[in-house]
Parts: sequence; C-alpha cells; structure tokens
Amino acid sequence: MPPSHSIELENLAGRSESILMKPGSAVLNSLASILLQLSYTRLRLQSINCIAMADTTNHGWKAYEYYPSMAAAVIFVLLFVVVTLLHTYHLIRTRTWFFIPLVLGGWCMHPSPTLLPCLYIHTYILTCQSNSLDI
Amino acid sequence: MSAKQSPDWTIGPYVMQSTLLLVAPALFAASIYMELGRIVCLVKGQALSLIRVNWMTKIFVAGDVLSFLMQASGAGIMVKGSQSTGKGVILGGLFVQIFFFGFFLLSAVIFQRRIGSRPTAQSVDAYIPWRKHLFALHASSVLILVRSVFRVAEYAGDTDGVLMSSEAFIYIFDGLLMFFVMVIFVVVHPSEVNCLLGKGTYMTVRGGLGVNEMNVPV
Repeated sequence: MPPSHSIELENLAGRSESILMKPGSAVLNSLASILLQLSYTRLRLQSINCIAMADTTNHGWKAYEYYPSMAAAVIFVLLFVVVTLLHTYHLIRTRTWFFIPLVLGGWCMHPSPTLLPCLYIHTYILTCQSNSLDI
Repeated sequence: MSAKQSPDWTIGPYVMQSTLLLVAPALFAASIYMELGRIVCLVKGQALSLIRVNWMTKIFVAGDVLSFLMQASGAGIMVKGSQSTGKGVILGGLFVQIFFFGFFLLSAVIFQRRIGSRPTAQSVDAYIPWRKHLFALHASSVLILVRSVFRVAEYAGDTDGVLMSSEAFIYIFDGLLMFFVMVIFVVVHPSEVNCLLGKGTYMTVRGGLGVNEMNVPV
C-alpha cells in the first residue's frame, strides 16, 4: 500500500476514536462508527482504484460516486423504519383497518435495495483487497 | 479468491427486495383509494361524486390490484425469462397505475369542486375537517404519480449496464417521495375520518404523535 494511504487511514482512525470517546449518547457513538466504516470503505475503494489504474484496466468502480449513496441509503432506511413504526402503532391503536395496505407498503420499503448492493460490494471489495493489496 | 468463487451471494434477496420496492406504492394506492369513498360518505356527498360510491372503491382497487400483479409478474419474468418481456410487463403495470391514479385525482378534484359549489350540510359543518383529508389525498396522489413517471423513465431507458451510481440515485428519489407520502398520512391520519363516520373511537392527534378518544355526537 502506498505510504500516503496508510497515513490517511491512521489519521482517520485516531480522529474517530476521539469522537467515540466523547461523552454523549449511544446514538452519537453508533453514528460515528457508521461514519468510520464508510470512510474505511472509501479509502479501500480508492486504493483499489489506484492499483487498478496501474493495471491499465479500470474495473469501473468510482469510489467518490459510491460513498455518498451508501450514507444516503442508511439515512433513508432509518427514516422509513421510524415512519412505518409510527404508522403501525396508529393502525393498531385507532383500528383504522383499511390502512393495512399502506403499512404493508411501508414495511416493503425496508431494507432499501440500495443498501444491499452496498453491503455486497463492500464485502466483495474487502475480499478482493486482501488478495490484491499484499504487494 | 476470484469473482467466480463468490457464492450465490445476494442476488435472490436483492431481486426480491427491489421487487418489493417497485410494488410498494401499489399498496399505498389501495389504502388511498379506500379513503376517498369514506370521505365522500362523511360529507354525505354521494350524489355529487363522479362515480357511484359503491362502485368507486371497487373500480379503483381492482385497477390497483391489476397494476400490482402486472408489476410483480413483470419483475418475475425479468428474472426467470427474457428481460425485454419483463420490462414490457412492468411498463404496462406502471401505465395502468398512472392511468388509475390520474382518474382518481380527477374524481377527487371534481368532487371537491362540486361540494364547493353545492355544499351539503355536513361539509359546512365546522367540526368535520374533510378538506384537510382531501388535500392529503391530492398531495399523495401527485407524489405517487410523479414517482410512477420516474419509474417509467427508468424502465423505458437502457438499464442493461451496471450503472450502480445512477440506479441508487433513482431508488433514493423514488423512496424519498414515498417517504413524504407516508409522512403526510401520519400527520393527517384517516382515523379521524373513521371516527367521524362512527366506525372507531380513537383518532390520531398532534401531528401523529398522540392518540385521542373521540366521542362522536350522533
């Protein structure tokens, strides 16, 4: 791995540890850990891109276009879970049974399929990296 | 480990999940269609609606079920059969949905105008907030229409390449509109309509964050 990349990784790790240690709610901690994972993914994707270009074949992954869509997918799933839970509560409490299809539709929207390919590609990249990066 | 060695990782759940995402608004539509009939009954405007109230819900829900089945089977065909046939069936289902939603929006708007010009006793009554619920129906219908048009654009174009970034963008756009639809219905929950019709006792208040008991004066 080129030395600049490893330095970036260490800096990120140090910064995120200080975020995690701040007194605060568990929500903040989990958000920070999610962000940490995302930044690791981004760095790994960038390193893959570097090596791929040395190979003169770009495997088609664009790291910077990928990073925001995963964060958006996570937020989107959270939003939908909250709203659907609210709807389910109201459905049962007020017994407005004709709204059952809407609640079912709400549950269909989670988890988002933007998340699944993110996760699968993350795993693929990680396994790919472990082979291609022992230079 | 090469790419060939990756097992049948997530294609099954991925396809199933993206199909669910495709057909979820058809489920929203079913509930929305049912609400219009109830609002019409609430203001006793049966004579003023475009279609007879008995038939209204049945026609719209039948059209919605048809569009749901077409979209779901189209997605299945896309996986198991030829891609172009599947895409065609999905496009047909989306067009059916757009047609019925347009028809629904038309009925709702015409009903609102007719009640505005020839109000019934219940519609001028101050404690029946039918306008609010009708506006919720209009807003969510427009949102679902826009979303269906997006989906038509997505399926009619060339999606044969693995354009991960643009696909994610379209999904998020679609999902955001559907999120707004759900938020609209949490804030303007039809339990109020239900209670005022005498079919329930609890209604949602405070923007969806609480539940109140309602005693309807008969």
